[in-house]
Amino acid sequence: MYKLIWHMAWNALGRRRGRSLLVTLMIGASLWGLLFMEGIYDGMTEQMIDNTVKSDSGNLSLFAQGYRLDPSLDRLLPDSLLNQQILRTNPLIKSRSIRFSHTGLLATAHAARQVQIQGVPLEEEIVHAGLSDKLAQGRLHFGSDGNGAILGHGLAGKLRVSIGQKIILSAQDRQQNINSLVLKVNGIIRSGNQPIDDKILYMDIEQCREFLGVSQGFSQLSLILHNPDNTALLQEQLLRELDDSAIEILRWDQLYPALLQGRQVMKTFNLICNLLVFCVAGLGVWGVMTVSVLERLREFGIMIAVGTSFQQIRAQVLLESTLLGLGGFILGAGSGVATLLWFVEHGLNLEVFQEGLQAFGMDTIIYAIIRPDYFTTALIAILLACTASVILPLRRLKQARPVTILNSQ
Amino acid sequence: MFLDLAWKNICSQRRRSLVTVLLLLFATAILVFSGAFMEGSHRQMIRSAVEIYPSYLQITGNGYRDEPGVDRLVFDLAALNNVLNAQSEVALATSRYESFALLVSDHQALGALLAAVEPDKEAQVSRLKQSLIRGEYLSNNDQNQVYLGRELAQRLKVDVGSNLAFVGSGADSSFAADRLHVKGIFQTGLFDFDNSSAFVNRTYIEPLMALDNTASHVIVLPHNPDQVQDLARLLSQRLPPELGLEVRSWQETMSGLVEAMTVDSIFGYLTLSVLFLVILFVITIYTLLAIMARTREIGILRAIGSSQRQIFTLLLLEGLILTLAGVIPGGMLGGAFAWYFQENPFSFSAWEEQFKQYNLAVSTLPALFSLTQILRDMIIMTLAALMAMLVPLLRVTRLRPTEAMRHV
Repeated sequence: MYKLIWHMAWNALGRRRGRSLLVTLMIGASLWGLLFMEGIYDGMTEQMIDNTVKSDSGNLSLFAQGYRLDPSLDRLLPDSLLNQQILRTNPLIKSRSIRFSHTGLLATAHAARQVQIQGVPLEEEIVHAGLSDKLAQGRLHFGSDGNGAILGHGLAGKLRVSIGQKIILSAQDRQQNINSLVLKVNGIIRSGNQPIDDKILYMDIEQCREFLGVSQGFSQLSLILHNPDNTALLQEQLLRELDDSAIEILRWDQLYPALLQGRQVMKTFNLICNLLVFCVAGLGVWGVMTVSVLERLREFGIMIAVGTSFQQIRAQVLLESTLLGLGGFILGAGSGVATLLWFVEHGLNLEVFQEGLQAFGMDTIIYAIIRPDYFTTALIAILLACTASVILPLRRLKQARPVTILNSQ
Repeated sequence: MFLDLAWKNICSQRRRSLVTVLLLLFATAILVFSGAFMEGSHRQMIRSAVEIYPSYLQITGNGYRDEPGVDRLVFDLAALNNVLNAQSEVALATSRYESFALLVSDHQALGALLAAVEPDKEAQVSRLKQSLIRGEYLSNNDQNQVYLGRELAQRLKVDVGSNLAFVGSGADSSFAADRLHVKGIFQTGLFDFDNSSAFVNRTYIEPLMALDNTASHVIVLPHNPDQVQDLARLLSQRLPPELGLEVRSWQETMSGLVEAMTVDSIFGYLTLSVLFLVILFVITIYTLLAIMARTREIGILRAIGSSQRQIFTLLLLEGLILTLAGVIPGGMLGGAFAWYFQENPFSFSAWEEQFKQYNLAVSTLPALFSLTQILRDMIIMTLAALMAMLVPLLRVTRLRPTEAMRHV
């Protein structure tokens, strides 16, 4: 019986090939557009988050209590913290890096700018923040004497400094003396995180401590996890194990709530787009199915007259609309995956809008991402739209009596 | 006769016609309103960013914007002011000298922008005065008084009445240092700006920084801010070349923001295009269904002597009536929303922090009611809908009469 229904549904669609093709194409094209949009928009959002996590917040960051409100040199985490078992051997942690931060003034012979000094152990930071991928000019090296510096490209641009040039760093040390230090620009990085690119100066952590009159300690411990989904779990573990009256342990989304808000907005936006597009697509299927049912009233009348149940006819009509939907889904999902895979590999190059994208902390090449839920959401939406689209035509069919139908034609 | 026939045909397929009209109405309203909202919100963001401090038009020494330094200043301010005063398009011009200095309080030393401004004129070209939250704004007679951003004051741990010192360099690259008294504290809402900016009266700092007849920028306020690019071109031609100056409108000085808004518009229209694609597909399908149902009738019309052209005109007229029936009220509806939200902007107070992260101090975003833009969107929608109808129209008019009459 099912085979017969399948056969009849397939033949009915085949008889109206142009119409069926147009509906399939409509669903396919709209799904392709939606998938492209979702993949690129999500890629954009995730890239911004990834840049921030790597260059600053990590998945989790540890600060001395009160440091974020009053980032003074007296509020540092002790070096001994690094020896804590939970931070040394925790299997959830992929990498960690300590940072010693302070603000100062960076000057050349012609210009001066406010700067965020970041003393780091370079080898650790390179791995942790993926600095090798972010290097725009020069090399990642503080020099044998430790007097090298790596600048954010925005800062380097504003000061018009190039590799090898000398710069003068001034800042107030812990004893409130104003100190100055000559550094050589060894590298320029482009992190994709605008505040970092516009203000950061990386220097050797030991040199930085000495310059600021601090013998030990650091401002921030940034942790990156193997699986970011475990961030809250690790935060809980750390809060249990460490003295939370002295240490603040914050997730990236607590440090950058706006980024999380952006991700949530993007999700809602995608969902609304899906709803709108598939509601309209449902109207298209409804139009086709209504005509398709109405112009076959005589055919259905004969079928009912020879003993076919209404349930079987309903199943056939439903199968026809589902086949149209599935055809469109296969077409759209196939072309969507192919397009997104290309953009996952090569990225969407928006270098022509470089300045504008950087103003929003975005990379100029946006790599798409593909999530399984794009397809499940779309499939559910398509099936719902196809099912909903046959409700009215079937009701009209049910209301018509076979004899009346046969006589009326 | 064509009109009568077209109208009858539309009415005979009432439900399909209604859906087509409603879809076009919906699509046009969305297009008009989205365009108005994007344009209005972008203008608001740019206006807010421009008016807080950068202002509409800047004149600097050649190359200063790309490579700011003491060797690229405006070195003959008096001559420049003479030229500007003679221009009827210029409402006001004021000078600034921007340098970066170390501000030192009893608790903290921080690098910050230290700008010398002409307080009375500055109040008219930027929102510095309006942003006062404590104490007083600067006056033209002030000595040793500083006007600080709120976050900077917090980090320095100073308030109105506190003292601090600055160490910086003058226009002749000499050291400049003095004690300052906090006169007022401002908050523009831009975290970065409030966190790193301090202002002093120009006449006070002139001798300290050797600013005689020198400035880093001259800010020009045009009578009509919409014509700022024309004014920039005009001034570029009229300024004597020996002054070595360049004129930049906000579109150039804030090109990053302008580009960001363009990118936002592109992605906005890209999103809309997916929705329109499916709407136009549905219109094509409905037109096809409507025409296919009348293939036999069209065959008869052809058989009794109607030309291919007449049939095409009739069907196109039906399409045009349906399109206009959707597009005109859609445009009016979208326009009504645009007007309403221009007068009552969307409040985005929950988003303020996110905007601030990108240096945008806005909490409300209005739409822009522009008749030209609404008409443009309506024309686009009309053309797109007619294009969507064209394929089924061409297909059916090409059928031969006998072929069409046999159609079941």
